[in-house]
Amino acid sequence: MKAALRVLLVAVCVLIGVSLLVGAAGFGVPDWLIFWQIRVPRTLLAALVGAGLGLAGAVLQGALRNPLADPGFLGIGGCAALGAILAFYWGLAAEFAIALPGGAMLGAAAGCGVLMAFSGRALSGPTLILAGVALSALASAFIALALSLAPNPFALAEITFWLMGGLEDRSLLHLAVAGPPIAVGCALLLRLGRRLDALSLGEATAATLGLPVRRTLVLASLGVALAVGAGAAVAGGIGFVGLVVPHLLRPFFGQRPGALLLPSLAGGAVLLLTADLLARAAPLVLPMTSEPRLGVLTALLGAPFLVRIARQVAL
Amino acid sequence: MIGLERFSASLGGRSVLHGVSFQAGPGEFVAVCGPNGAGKTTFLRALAGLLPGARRPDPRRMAYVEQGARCSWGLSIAQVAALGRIPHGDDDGAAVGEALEMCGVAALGARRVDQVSGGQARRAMLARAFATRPEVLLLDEPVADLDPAACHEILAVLRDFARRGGLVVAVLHAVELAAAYATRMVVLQDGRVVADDVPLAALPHAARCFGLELGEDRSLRLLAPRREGVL
Repeated sequence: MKAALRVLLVAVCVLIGVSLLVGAAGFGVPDWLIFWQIRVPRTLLAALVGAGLGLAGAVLQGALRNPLADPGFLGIGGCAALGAILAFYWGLAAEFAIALPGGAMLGAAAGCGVLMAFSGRALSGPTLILAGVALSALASAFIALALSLAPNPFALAEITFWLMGGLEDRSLLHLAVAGPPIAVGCALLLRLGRRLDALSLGEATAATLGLPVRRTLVLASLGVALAVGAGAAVAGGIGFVGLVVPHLLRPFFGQRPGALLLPSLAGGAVLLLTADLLARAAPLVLPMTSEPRLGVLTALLGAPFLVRIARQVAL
Repeated sequence: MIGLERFSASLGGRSVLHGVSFQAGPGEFVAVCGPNGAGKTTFLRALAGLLPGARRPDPRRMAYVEQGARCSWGLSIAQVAALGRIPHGDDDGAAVGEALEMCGVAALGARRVDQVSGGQARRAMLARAFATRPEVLLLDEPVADLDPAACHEILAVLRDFARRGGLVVAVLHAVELAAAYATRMVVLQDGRVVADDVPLAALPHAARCFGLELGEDRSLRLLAPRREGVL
């Protein structure tokens, strides 16, 4: 298990290195400006956003006791996007750099709150998934409303493009805005390991083990909102990372929720760094003029996984 | 050691327990019996401090195993038992090993709890409770889906725990088994304690609230109800 974690961490380092050396300017160390202003933000954001999404997925699955839980699939990503769009829509994002990630984090927190409020009842199983589907639908409806009322075609195009998720042309400012909330959110979530283990026995039993159940769910919501919201603010709609990563890691790290947190953090970074490298490599080998959007790529990779996991899980 | 004082509870607007008082101390094995819907599970949850207004016992001294307890993930049986150490904040391997031994699953420690038989999973949950090294065990139907031999085995473990100074409060559907192992029987009906005595004395009350009657030889055997028109 220790060895598997080491492999993951080495993979993160190698991918960060490769990502810093590859880009539109060719392979190798580019000039200073490109390196600092383009490749460093993009690489670190891919690692950070991926780590946050992977960890958020592992925590949600543990807290909600459901292997299908994923921030995107449950509508938390959609709520984050809605929050960001509202900030964008009202022009707040143009005035304050913090408004966009702030709106996204608030949206994600609201989404988490709604889901966790269900958690007293029979949350494991179809109820939760249906609640997530409803939340997603609601968020999409409001996003569509905002789009249809968009003040001009440029805003429309910009929002649509952002919704598809991507990390190109991100600057050090993006890194400065999203980095701290993601780091704080991850730090919060990484401390929940033993509590998630206790929750695997159900909320009542966990409470008799001395676990503050409600506080744990609130902390989990807060951490997920920070990590997913800030991630969505800079990277747009990137789904399935939180679903796929814990699922891929269980054969190596076991099923105990607490044992999956650190690996999911590293695994999420590996997955998103890889996907981002693929996105950058695609125009070089495929007949396309621009990079495929990162969110599109993760969805293409992740959707078949959802089918596979759904077949294994008896709801 | 543990108890309720004129405790009432309602679930979804329906009153389930009406002013129930109950006290139990070390060395007792209390069987809680009664028909379905009598409030047995609510009674146990109140003792575990899971209901509003109920005092929550120290988690290091009390372990609770809910009805049909299961683990959401495929933890190994040893990992499940180790969850019982959470209240102490340690990973006392000796306590976990001893608990696995007591519940007869020491050899299965590495097996996944979702890949063993229902009875073995039930024992793993019980081992989790023992791993806490509690003074009080609250168990909701601990032998519900075990075969007869395993029932006797587990109940004997619980009896020995009580004889060594522990307190067991267990909801037991099988009244005959309860009478054979418990030192005291609480009979609940419609949210009220209708009997609270040694099993021999409480058994007629239990029989009555099940709509059955006690054997004429005063044995602890319950007869099938006489139904008119049936030979």
